[in-house]
Amino acid sequence: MKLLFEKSQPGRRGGGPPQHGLPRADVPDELRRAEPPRLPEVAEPELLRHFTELSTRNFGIDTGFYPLGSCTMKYNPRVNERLVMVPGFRDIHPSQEEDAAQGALELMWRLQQALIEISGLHACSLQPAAGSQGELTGLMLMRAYFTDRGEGAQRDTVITADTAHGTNPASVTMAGYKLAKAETDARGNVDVAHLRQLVNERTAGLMLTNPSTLGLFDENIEDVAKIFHDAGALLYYDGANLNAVCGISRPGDMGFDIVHINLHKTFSQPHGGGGPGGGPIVVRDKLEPFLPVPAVVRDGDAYKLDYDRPKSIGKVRGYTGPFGVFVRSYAYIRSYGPRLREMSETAVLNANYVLARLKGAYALPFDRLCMHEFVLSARNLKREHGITALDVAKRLMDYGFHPPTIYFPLIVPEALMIEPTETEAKETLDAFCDAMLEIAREAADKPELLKEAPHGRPVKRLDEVRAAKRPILKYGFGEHAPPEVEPGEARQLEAQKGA
Amino acid sequence: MRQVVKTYAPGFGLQVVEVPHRGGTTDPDEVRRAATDAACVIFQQPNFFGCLEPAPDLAAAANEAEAVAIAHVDPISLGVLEAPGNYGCGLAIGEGQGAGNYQSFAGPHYGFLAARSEFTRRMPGRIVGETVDAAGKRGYVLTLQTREQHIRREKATSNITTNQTLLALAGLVYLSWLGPQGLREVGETCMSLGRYARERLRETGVELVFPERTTFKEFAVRVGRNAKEAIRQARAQGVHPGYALGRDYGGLDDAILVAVTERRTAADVDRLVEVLAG
Repeated sequence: MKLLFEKSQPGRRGGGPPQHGLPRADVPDELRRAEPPRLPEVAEPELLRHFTELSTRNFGIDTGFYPLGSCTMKYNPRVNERLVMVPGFRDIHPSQEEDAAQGALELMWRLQQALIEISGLHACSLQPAAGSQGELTGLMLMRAYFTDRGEGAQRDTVITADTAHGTNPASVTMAGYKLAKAETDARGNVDVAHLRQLVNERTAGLMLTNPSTLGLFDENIEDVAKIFHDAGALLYYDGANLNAVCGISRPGDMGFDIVHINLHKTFSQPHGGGGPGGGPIVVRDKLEPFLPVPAVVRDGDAYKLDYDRPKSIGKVRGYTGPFGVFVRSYAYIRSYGPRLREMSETAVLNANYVLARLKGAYALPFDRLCMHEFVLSARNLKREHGITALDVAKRLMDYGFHPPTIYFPLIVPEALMIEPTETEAKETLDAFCDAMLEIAREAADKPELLKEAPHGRPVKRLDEVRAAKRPILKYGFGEHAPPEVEPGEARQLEAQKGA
Repeated sequence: MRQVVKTYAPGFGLQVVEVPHRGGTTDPDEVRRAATDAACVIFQQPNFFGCLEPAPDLAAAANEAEAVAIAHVDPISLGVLEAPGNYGCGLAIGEGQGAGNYQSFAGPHYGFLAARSEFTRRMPGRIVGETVDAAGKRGYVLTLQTREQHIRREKATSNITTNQTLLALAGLVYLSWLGPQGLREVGETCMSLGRYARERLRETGVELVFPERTTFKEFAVRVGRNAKEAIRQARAQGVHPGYALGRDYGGLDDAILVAVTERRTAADVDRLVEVLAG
């Protein structure tokens, strides 16, 4: 289809601001824009049709099953969207005085209390905008804690598991720490013997997901916590997989001191191409003085922003966090109430059902009961038929399913990481399993069908190497290549551009 | 923004030096001296007080010191104010709330980071690129992923995964709806309504904190009494006049930062004047 720029006609527009008939205010010459910005020029009907058509070219949770492992792509209840659009939530300014924002502050305080209870810890900050910022904030808390104890320079290393999300090691570096990597043992737990070798007086802490990215609950978590606590180090819980354990077990009880929670995973949000997100952190009492300012606190019947935290790491984001995300997640938690455990139990049940149906057809590197997700391997298909995890993923699109996460975690070759979530019906799970089993048969009978998949999507397999080698990251106006060109012709066009 | 930069800088081994404002804006000579050993110079256009900085001179001062000039801009201003890329900035950053998102008590909103192409491979987060499919048809992929945490892990340019794409999409729709002419008109409306508000307030004896400066959307006024008290009185009459500047700056306990955007009308401004002067 054409780009909006290609539909653009000079002088057209959707609209503009109301006219007030007031005298113009002059912009100083040296600051005035010389040439107008090159934005699209289209009327509102064309604009609406353009974006509506684009939306039909996307696969989303509202169009079908989306078992993207570690992303917890659960259904976003529509009542949440109504709540977030209540004018008293939607139209409040973050600089309003506390007494003019009591409703918002109370909602935030109550969400904090719910997250504290779910985590089994003592204090919460809602400020971080997503998991990655939560991780960085948590590591800054770790540094502030040790600096306050006079151990800041000494403790310069953070340990992560070899199954960790990529964010963990990236956050470690961004926070100015050195990284050490712990291996996984034969049962899929963190290798305790290896941890004992790694932990010493230079260790600031461990970052761990539990259940891990293999979808397995670490059977030695209490021993792991003891190793770190005995060495004076802290434990950080990557909450990406919290959907497995809500109301069943609590990170604080497992021994974790700092937790980040991905509100947009565990407690539902719209999945708009990767956001919005919310990444609150919850901590043990000894870390509370270091939390970001302002803290949302209750004082009698009133709710306040407390800036008087002399040991605070400061602000990690403007104002107090992505409030609309809080409204939706608070509503989701309240919709379950004390039955929140059923959310996680159903997520775990769904995952184990799908695992049980698929494990004969695909390799299963760690054959245990899984939590909310599990990791299969297509290595049997690769060995026998030359079919890779990528081929399976692409073929799944032809059956109307979003592919699982592939090639992660890194320790599993040809990994297929599947997370059904609790919001799917058994018939959906069965349809997905039927498709996966059919694909395994096709791998033997018609491997070329898989190699050329997908067949029914708006585009075939995209040339990623070309995209990275000669990046086209913005519209080129007169020099931009048309929508459909022969590959040879496209190369020629690019060469002419010399971009 | 200053507070957030201070929180992050130590982890990257960076030190933050602040150049104080002089009568509401920044002196390029002071920036030049401060930037001698600096990695970058960040300035806001318009700044916190709503004043228009001598942005091209600030960028030139940064470039002379071989520091990267970074403009923190209001996208709504860029129909009337020159684009940072046209006066020597290496990066432009900003908050998108005013361009297509609800206030929603501070989020979720989108922000943006625009860079000269030389910085592309050092940028954080997801980047979309154009390519072709197996049949030669145009298509789009996430690209340059060897920068990112899921590939490069501890050597990644950032840890970012989840972003605010849905909010950015709303911004895209809004800016596409406005087009170049509409964006300019929104900027002009903010400025003409702002000028009208400043003049009306001055007529009633309300003093501007920085009377010599050109402003965009926001401007600071002295209300002749404690600002928090004045705000409370105004709220009782159904008008929220703005932000008490004494929260952030000493000596401005009687000052309110007023915002007048395209969402207001001349009648709204008249009511504000009535309430503040009363």
